[in-house]
Amino acid sequence: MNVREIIEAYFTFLNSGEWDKWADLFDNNAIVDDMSNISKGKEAIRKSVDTIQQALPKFKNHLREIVVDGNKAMVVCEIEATTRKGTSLISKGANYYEIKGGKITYMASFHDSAHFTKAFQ
Amino acid sequence: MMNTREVIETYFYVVNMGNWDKWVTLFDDDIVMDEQLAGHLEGIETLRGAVDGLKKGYSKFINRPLEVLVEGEKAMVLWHIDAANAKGVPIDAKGVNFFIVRNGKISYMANFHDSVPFKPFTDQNLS
Repeated sequence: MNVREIIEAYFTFLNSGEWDKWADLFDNNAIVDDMSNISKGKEAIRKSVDTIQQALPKFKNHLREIVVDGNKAMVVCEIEATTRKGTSLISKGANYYEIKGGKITYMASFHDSAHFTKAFQ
Repeated sequence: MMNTREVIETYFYVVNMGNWDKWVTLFDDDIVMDEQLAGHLEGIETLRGAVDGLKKGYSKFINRPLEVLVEGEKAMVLWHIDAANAKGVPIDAKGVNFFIVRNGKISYMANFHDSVPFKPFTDQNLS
Protein backbone atom coordinates (compact mmCIF):
# COMPACT_ATOMS: atom_id res chain seq x y z
CA MET A 1 0.00 0.00 0.00
CA ASN A 2 1.17 3.55 -0.65
CA VAL A 3 1.03 6.27 2.00
CA ARG A 4 -2.50 7.44 1.11
CA GLU A 5 -3.82 3.85 1.06
CA ILE A 6 -2.30 3.19 4.50
CA ILE A 7 -3.94 6.28 5.99
CA GLU A 8 -7.30 5.45 4.41
CA ALA A 9 -6.99 1.88 5.73
CA TYR A 10 -6.20 3.29 9.20
CA PHE A 11 -9.62 4.98 9.28
CA THR A 12 -11.47 2.12 7.58
CA PHE A 13 -10.23 -0.45 10.13
CA LEU A 14 -10.68 1.97 13.04
CA ASN A 15 -14.34 2.53 12.14
CA SER A 16 -15.10 -1.10 11.33
CA GLY A 17 -13.55 -2.30 14.58
CA GLU A 18 -11.04 -4.52 12.75
CA TRP A 19 -8.45 -3.87 15.43
CA ASP A 20 -5.91 -6.54 14.44
CA LYS A 21 -5.85 -5.25 10.87
CA TRP A 22 -5.60 -1.72 12.27
CA ALA A 23 -2.66 -2.67 14.50
CA ASP A 24 -0.92 -4.39 11.57
CA LEU A 25 -0.65 -1.01 9.84
CA PHE A 26 1.96 -0.07 12.47
CA ASP A 27 5.63 -0.98 12.48
CA ASN A 28 6.71 -3.29 15.35
CA ASN A 29 8.64 -0.38 16.85
CA ALA A 30 6.12 2.35 16.07
CA ILE A 31 5.55 5.23 18.47
CA VAL A 32 2.12 6.80 18.93
CA ASP A 33 1.74 10.13 20.74
CA ASP A 34 -2.00 10.37 21.35
CA MET A 35 -2.50 13.76 23.02
CA SER A 36 0.73 13.21 24.99
CA ASN A 37 -0.16 9.60 25.92
CA ILE A 38 2.77 7.69 24.45
CA SER A 39 2.53 4.07 23.26
CA LYS A 40 5.73 2.37 22.10
CA GLY A 41 5.60 -0.76 19.94
CA LYS A 42 2.78 -2.46 18.05
CA GLU A 43 1.64 -4.51 21.05
CA ALA A 44 1.27 -1.42 23.25
CA ILE A 45 -0.56 0.37 20.45
CA ARG A 46 -2.97 -2.57 20.05
CA LYS A 47 -3.61 -2.58 23.83
CA SER A 48 -4.32 1.16 23.82
CA VAL A 49 -7.50 0.35 21.89
CA ASP A 50 -8.85 -1.47 24.95
CA THR A 51 -8.60 1.75 26.96
CA ILE A 52 -10.50 3.67 24.28
CA GLN A 53 -13.19 0.99 24.04
CA GLN A 54 -13.68 0.92 27.81
CA ALA A 55 -14.05 4.70 28.02
CA LEU A 56 -15.91 5.22 24.74
CA PRO A 57 -18.04 2.19 23.81
CA LYS A 58 -19.29 4.02 20.72
CA PHE A 59 -16.33 5.44 18.82
CA LYS A 60 -15.93 6.62 15.24
CA ASN A 61 -13.15 8.74 13.77
CA HIS A 62 -14.08 10.27 10.43
CA LEU A 63 -11.40 11.26 7.91
CA ARG A 64 -12.20 14.81 6.71
CA GLU A 65 -9.01 15.94 4.89
CA ILE A 66 -5.75 14.29 3.96
CA VAL A 67 -2.44 15.78 2.79
CA VAL A 68 0.31 13.40 1.64
CA ASP A 69 3.84 14.63 0.99
CA GLY A 70 6.51 11.98 0.40
CA ASN A 71 6.52 9.44 3.24
CA LYS A 72 4.56 11.73 5.57
CA ALA A 73 0.86 12.47 5.87
CA MET A 74 -1.42 14.63 7.94
CA VAL A 75 -5.17 14.45 8.28
CA VAL A 76 -8.05 16.44 9.66
CA CYS A 77 -10.37 14.03 11.43
CA GLU A 78 -13.48 14.17 13.58
CA ILE A 79 -14.12 11.91 16.54
CA GLU A 80 -17.77 11.08 17.18
CA ALA A 81 -18.16 9.02 20.33
CA THR A 82 -20.33 8.28 23.33
CA THR A 83 -19.12 7.70 26.88
CA ARG A 84 -20.34 4.84 29.12
CA LYS A 85 -22.72 7.34 30.74
CA GLY A 86 -24.18 8.19 27.33
CA THR A 87 -22.57 11.62 26.96
CA SER A 88 -21.82 12.60 23.37
CA LEU A 89 -18.28 13.60 22.44
CA ILE A 90 -17.41 15.35 19.19
CA SER A 91 -13.87 16.55 18.61
CA LYS A 92 -12.30 17.73 15.39
CA GLY A 93 -8.55 17.32 15.37
CA ALA A 94 -5.51 16.36 13.35
CA ASN A 95 -3.11 13.44 13.06
CA TYR A 96 0.47 13.40 11.79
CA TYR A 97 1.99 10.19 10.33
CA GLU A 98 5.43 8.98 9.23
CA ILE A 99 5.50 5.87 7.01
CA LYS A 100 8.49 3.64 6.30
CA GLY A 101 8.51 0.27 4.55
CA GLY A 102 4.74 0.31 4.17
CA LYS A 103 4.13 0.70 7.92
CA ILE A 104 3.30 3.61 10.23
CA THR A 105 6.45 4.27 12.28
CA TYR A 106 5.25 7.42 14.06
CA MET A 107 1.89 9.03 14.68
CA ALA A 108 0.83 12.02 16.75
CA SER A 109 -2.74 13.12 17.46
CA PHE A 110 -3.91 16.64 18.33
CA HIS A 111 -7.30 17.42 19.87
CA ASP A 112 -8.56 19.89 22.45
CA SER A 113 -8.55 17.99 25.76
CA ALA A 114 -11.35 20.30 26.95
CA HIS A 115 -13.81 18.34 24.77
CA PHE A 116 -12.84 15.09 26.52
CA THR A 117 -12.80 16.64 30.00
CA LYS A 118 -16.33 17.99 29.45
CA ALA A 119 -17.63 14.64 28.16
CA PHE A 120 -16.32 12.75 31.20
CA GLN A 121 -17.52 15.24 33.86
CA MET B 1 2.00 34.71 -7.49
CA MET B 2 3.29 32.55 -4.62
CA ASN B 3 2.64 28.82 -4.71
CA THR B 4 1.13 26.93 -1.76
CA ARG B 5 4.46 26.18 -0.08
CA GLU B 6 5.69 29.77 -0.50
CA VAL B 7 2.48 31.14 1.03
CA ILE B 8 2.82 28.82 4.02
CA GLU B 9 6.52 29.61 4.49
CA THR B 10 5.69 33.33 4.34
CA TYR B 11 2.87 32.79 6.88
CA PHE B 12 5.32 31.46 9.47
CA TYR B 13 8.03 33.99 8.55
CA VAL B 14 5.78 37.01 9.15
CA VAL B 15 4.21 35.48 12.29
CA ASN B 16 7.66 35.01 13.78
CA MET B 17 8.60 38.57 12.81
CA GLY B 18 5.53 39.69 14.78
CA ASN B 19 4.28 41.35 11.59
CA TRP B 20 0.56 40.70 12.08
CA ASP B 21 -0.40 43.42 9.55
CA LYS B 22 1.56 41.60 6.83
CA TRP B 23 0.07 38.30 8.08
CA VAL B 24 -3.45 39.54 7.27
CA THR B 25 -2.45 40.24 3.64
CA LEU B 26 -1.78 36.52 3.08
CA PHE B 27 -5.51 35.75 3.36
CA ASP B 28 -8.23 36.01 0.73
CA ASP B 29 -10.87 38.70 1.28
CA ASP B 30 -13.43 35.91 1.77
CA ILE B 31 -11.27 33.90 4.18
CA VAL B 32 -13.03 31.30 6.29
CA MET B 33 -11.20 30.28 9.43
CA ASP B 34 -11.96 27.72 12.13
CA GLU B 35 -9.67 28.82 14.93
CA GLN B 36 -9.41 26.57 17.97
CA LEU B 37 -9.60 29.45 20.45
CA ALA B 38 -11.55 32.13 18.54
CA GLY B 39 -14.07 29.87 16.77
CA HIS B 40 -15.50 30.32 13.28
CA LEU B 41 -14.43 33.53 11.52
CA GLU B 42 -15.39 34.80 8.07
CA GLY B 43 -14.02 37.69 6.03
CA ILE B 44 -10.79 39.66 6.02
CA GLU B 45 -12.23 42.52 8.08
CA THR B 46 -13.15 40.12 10.89
CA LEU B 47 -9.60 38.77 10.79
CA ARG B 48 -8.12 42.26 10.72
CA GLY B 49 -10.20 43.07 13.79
CA ALA B 50 -8.67 40.10 15.64
CA VAL B 51 -5.11 41.32 15.05
CA ASP B 52 -5.33 43.94 17.80
CA GLY B 53 -6.10 41.18 20.31
CA LEU B 54 -3.07 39.21 19.15
CA LYS B 55 -0.80 42.26 19.42
CA LYS B 56 -2.03 43.10 22.93
CA GLY B 57 -2.45 39.55 24.19
CA TYR B 58 0.98 38.15 23.44
CA SER B 59 4.25 39.69 24.65
CA LYS B 60 6.06 36.89 22.81
CA PHE B 61 4.86 34.63 19.99
CA ILE B 62 7.14 32.19 18.20
CA ASN B 63 5.50 29.53 16.02
CA ARG B 64 8.07 27.12 14.63
CA PRO B 65 6.95 24.85 11.77
CA LEU B 66 8.27 21.35 12.54
CA GLU B 67 6.79 19.67 9.46
CA VAL B 68 5.29 21.28 6.35
CA LEU B 69 3.31 18.97 4.07
CA VAL B 70 1.96 20.31 0.78
CA GLU B 71 -0.28 18.60 -1.75
CA GLY B 72 -1.65 20.85 -4.48
CA GLU B 73 -3.73 23.65 -2.97
CA LYS B 74 -3.76 22.04 0.48
CA ALA B 75 -1.10 22.17 3.18
CA MET B 76 -0.80 20.97 6.74
CA VAL B 77 1.80 22.10 9.23
CA LEU B 78 2.88 20.55 12.52
CA TRP B 79 4.06 23.41 14.73
CA HIS B 80 5.45 24.28 18.14
CA ILE B 81 4.38 27.55 19.75
CA ASP B 82 6.65 29.18 22.32
CA ALA B 83 4.78 32.26 23.52
CA ALA B 84 3.90 34.39 26.52
CA ASN B 85 0.78 36.34 27.44
CA ALA B 86 0.78 40.12 27.99
CA LYS B 87 2.26 39.72 31.47
CA GLY B 88 4.91 37.25 30.35
CA VAL B 89 3.27 34.01 31.54
CA PRO B 90 4.72 31.30 29.25
CA ILE B 91 2.70 29.25 26.76
CA ASP B 92 4.13 26.08 25.23
CA ALA B 93 2.08 23.95 22.82
CA LYS B 94 2.23 21.76 19.75
CA GLY B 95 -0.51 21.56 17.16
CA VAL B 96 -1.48 21.48 13.51
CA ASN B 97 -2.71 23.99 10.94
CA PHE B 98 -4.67 23.03 7.83
CA PHE B 99 -4.63 25.46 4.89
CA ILE B 100 -6.31 25.75 1.51
CA VAL B 101 -4.45 28.17 -0.77
CA ARG B 102 -6.09 29.48 -3.94
CA ASN B 103 -4.71 32.14 -6.31
CA GLY B 104 -1.80 32.82 -3.97
CA LYS B 105 -4.03 33.55 -0.95
CA ILE B 106 -5.16 31.48 2.02
CA SER B 107 -8.88 30.89 1.45
CA TYR B 108 -9.41 28.50 4.41
CA MET B 109 -7.48 27.77 7.57
CA ALA B 110 -8.18 25.64 10.62
CA ASN B 111 -5.98 24.82 13.56
CA PHE B 112 -6.09 21.97 16.03
CA HIS B 113 -4.45 21.90 19.45
CA ASP B 114 -5.15 21.59 23.14
CA SER B 115 -6.67 24.81 24.49
CA VAL B 116 -5.37 24.22 28.03
CA PRO B 117 -1.79 25.47 27.42
CA PHE B 118 -3.30 28.72 26.08
CA LYS B 119 -5.18 29.58 29.29
CA PRO B 120 -2.64 32.33 30.17
CA PHE B 121 -3.77 34.00 26.90
CA THR B 122 -7.49 33.24 26.96
CA ASP B 123 -8.01 33.92 30.69
CA GLN B 124 -6.15 37.24 30.89
CA ASN B 125 -7.93 40.56 31.38
CA LEU B 126 -6.57 43.09 28.89
CA SER B 127 -8.93 45.95 29.74
